[in-house]
Amino acid sequence: MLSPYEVVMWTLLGTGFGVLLSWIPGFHIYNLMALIMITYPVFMEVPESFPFFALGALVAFVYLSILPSVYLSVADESLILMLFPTQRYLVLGRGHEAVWLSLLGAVGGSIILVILGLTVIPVILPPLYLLFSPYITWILLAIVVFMFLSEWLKAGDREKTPSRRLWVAWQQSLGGIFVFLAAGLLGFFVMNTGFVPAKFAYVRLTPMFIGFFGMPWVLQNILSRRHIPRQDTRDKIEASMFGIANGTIAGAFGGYIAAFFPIVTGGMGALVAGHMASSRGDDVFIVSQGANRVLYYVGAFFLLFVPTARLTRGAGAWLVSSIYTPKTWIEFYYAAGAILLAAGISFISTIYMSKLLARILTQMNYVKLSYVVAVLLAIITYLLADIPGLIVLAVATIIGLASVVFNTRRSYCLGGLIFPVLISMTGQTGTLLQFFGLTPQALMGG
Amino acid sequence: MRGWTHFLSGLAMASFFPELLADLRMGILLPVITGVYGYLPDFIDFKIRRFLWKRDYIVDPAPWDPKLKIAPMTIKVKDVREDKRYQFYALEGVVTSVLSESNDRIIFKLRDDTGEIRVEAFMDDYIRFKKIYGDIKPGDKIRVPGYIDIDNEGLKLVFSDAPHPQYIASMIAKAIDEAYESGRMITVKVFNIRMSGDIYRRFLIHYDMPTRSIKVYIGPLVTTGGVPIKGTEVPEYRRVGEAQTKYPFLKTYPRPTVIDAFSGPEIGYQKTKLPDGREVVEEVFIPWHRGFSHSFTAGILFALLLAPILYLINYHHIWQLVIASMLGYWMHVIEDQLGFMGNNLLPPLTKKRIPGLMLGPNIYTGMNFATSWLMISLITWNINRFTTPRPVPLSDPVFLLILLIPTIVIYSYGVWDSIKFRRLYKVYWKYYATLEALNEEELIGGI
Repeated sequence: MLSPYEVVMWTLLGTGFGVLLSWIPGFHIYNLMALIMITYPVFMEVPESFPFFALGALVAFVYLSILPSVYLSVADESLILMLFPTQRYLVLGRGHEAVWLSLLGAVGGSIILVILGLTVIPVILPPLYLLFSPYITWILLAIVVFMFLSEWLKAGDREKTPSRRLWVAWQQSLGGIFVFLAAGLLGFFVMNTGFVPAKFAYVRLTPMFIGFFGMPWVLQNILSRRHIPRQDTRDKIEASMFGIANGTIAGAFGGYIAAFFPIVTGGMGALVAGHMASSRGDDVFIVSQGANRVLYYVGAFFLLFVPTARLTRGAGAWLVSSIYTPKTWIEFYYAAGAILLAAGISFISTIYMSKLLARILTQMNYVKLSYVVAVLLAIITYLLADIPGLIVLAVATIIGLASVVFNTRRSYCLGGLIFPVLISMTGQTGTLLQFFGLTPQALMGG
Repeated sequence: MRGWTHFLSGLAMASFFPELLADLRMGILLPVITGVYGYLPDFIDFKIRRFLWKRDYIVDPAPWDPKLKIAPMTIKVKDVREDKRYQFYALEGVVTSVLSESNDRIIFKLRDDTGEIRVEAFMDDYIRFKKIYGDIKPGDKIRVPGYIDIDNEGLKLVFSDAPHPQYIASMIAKAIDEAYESGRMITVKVFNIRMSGDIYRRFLIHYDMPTRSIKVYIGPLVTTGGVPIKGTEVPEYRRVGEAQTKYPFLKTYPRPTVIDAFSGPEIGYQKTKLPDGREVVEEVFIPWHRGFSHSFTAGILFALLLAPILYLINYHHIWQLVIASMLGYWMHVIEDQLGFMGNNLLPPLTKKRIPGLMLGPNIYTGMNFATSWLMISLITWNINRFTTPRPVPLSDPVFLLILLIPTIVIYSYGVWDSIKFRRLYKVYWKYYATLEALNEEELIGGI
């Protein structure tokens, strides 16, 4: 059993690790934790320390990773919905304000997480799990269907005839279905064949997600010769208290949905919660996404500590549980404290890093910077998953760009994750593999 | 209500049928259709009917470049006509002569391969023109944006960064007059002004009833999230356009209609008789919304259509799913009936919209959340009572009561809010109905 001093030390170490690396575009904390776990034997000797190290790193990642998404348009799947509003802030010279809004949501989300975690969650989680676990496929499919149903058709309005208007408008929806299925098939191949070798198992989805959500934006920045105006680095925001409260609560709710139900991502949870709380406006949306990501990542991880349930949700939790699963109430309370400690440090670090990045960005040519980021993303992919990773990255980038061409939701690229899981949950993986002529040997990478 | 609330209501209806829940547990996912039926009325209106609705007038202040899909569209000199007056275009050509230039004005001639035209820039626009183009001279090749105008010397292009609002005001006034004279609904499609960089020029249409005038204000550039960009306001002398109507009109929504991002709205104008016998033209915002699609009759018809499909795919619980889908559809109608606009509930037996119950007029967000919570509660309650052994070992009424506490509290407040508000109802219900329609379009558009 760790002493309180050791808990603080490991949390601080994890937070420092996360702060140092999470602002770099393309790095995902799960990949880094996997590398750390493999290369650093200390966690094998003191396995109880790893959950707290991971918790600190995860909190720091959730806070710091807002920076590459705001300033460099590089997002992971949980940030994709936030890219459009934060980019609008950036082109108005208000990138730092967007970071502040997100941080307000994140701090609110951290407090809600700890309060609910220490009071309601341990009580309601076990019956909730018993109630809903047989219906997870239904819930997941329902959210996917709603994503398609609720897309606002942007095009077609200017066509001359009604039938033409209808057809052009619906091209967007059909494009969305195409993107979802293409992403889904790519995800299916990546997950069910040995194309990305088993030694890269922990990072095999990373090239795909960089391709879906990171690279297309960077390429767009390059192709459109994007210019970023001087950024205002003053610590001020324009948002109402009601908006911040509404965004935080909605985001936290969505985050919990995503944390609780496997495969429901933060973005999907935020979509649902945004509808329930009627959130409107860029500022409210950014706040809600800040809160949502805390609950989605940290909340899911925190479930591992709940002694009455001990649910393993998210790649981080799976990774940690392979070394050590917390078992006692004291570890649960330690974890709640660790979240607040890491959140405080990460909050301050993000503010200062944001100011620094905003100043650097003002002095640099954004197009040249985007070239550097594109190369960096390719290098990271190569280091993580070798040549197969680069091939997956290229295909995923094309699919990500297709969503731009069809003017449809970029979040449809989540099909890369959702489609193979839905196929698996309905027991059709073998049928689909057979349909594509893939044999069990291919599954082994032979 | 928001789309998810309707969708969730549909899903909740499925949970009342143990056969459908059993299917879901076994991985037979067809009952998700009930969610689709819960959303279907809005889907029909916003994804289909909106595009098929007949438009009598197109108000397009700044036509898009067909390839770039942004304004202004570059046209040839031969295409500059009087009917394009005040619309925002761009011309590209060679400067042939500078006719005059002073401290605050420049007039020059521009030629392309189809003809020659006068171009003028004055006052604040002259300063901006000089910043962009510097000192122009014959032979210079330039592309000039601006609005088309006409004076004693004929057609010309006035350098600007927005259309002149007079165009919009005149078109709206014309539509109102036609609605009065023809006696039928005239629908005007107002397009937005999309500029380079995914930003929009905001404009406002204000109906000044006492003076029978339509006033249009050109605002700043805004982002798709509606954030104004500082320093992009137009000069005062081309900020306002005004046009008189021949006939009286009734504006039920007291704030100006704001048009910026997403697509511009359709506005219907319909002649109507007031209780005192006067005839006026009334504004009907998004006239294609909440018609037959939002009725119990439509729910029955669409649900019946499902039956043969389910039969063909050999689904075993056809009628349970058909009834659950119909209930999901009806829930949408009922939920919309809680607001102001109401619906035509049973066509063809009923002909007009029946006004809504006006619950929680000042707590839209709360009512939406409470309804979503109600549906989550029903799903949870149903799953619990159809699971053996019960994960929550409480009696059905007690468990339901506990789950419904947030909904009961918010709905109770909504009823109280409604009672308070009803005093003003007779005067302002149409205003709130239009506000609700506007909210709904913004919310669905804002997904």
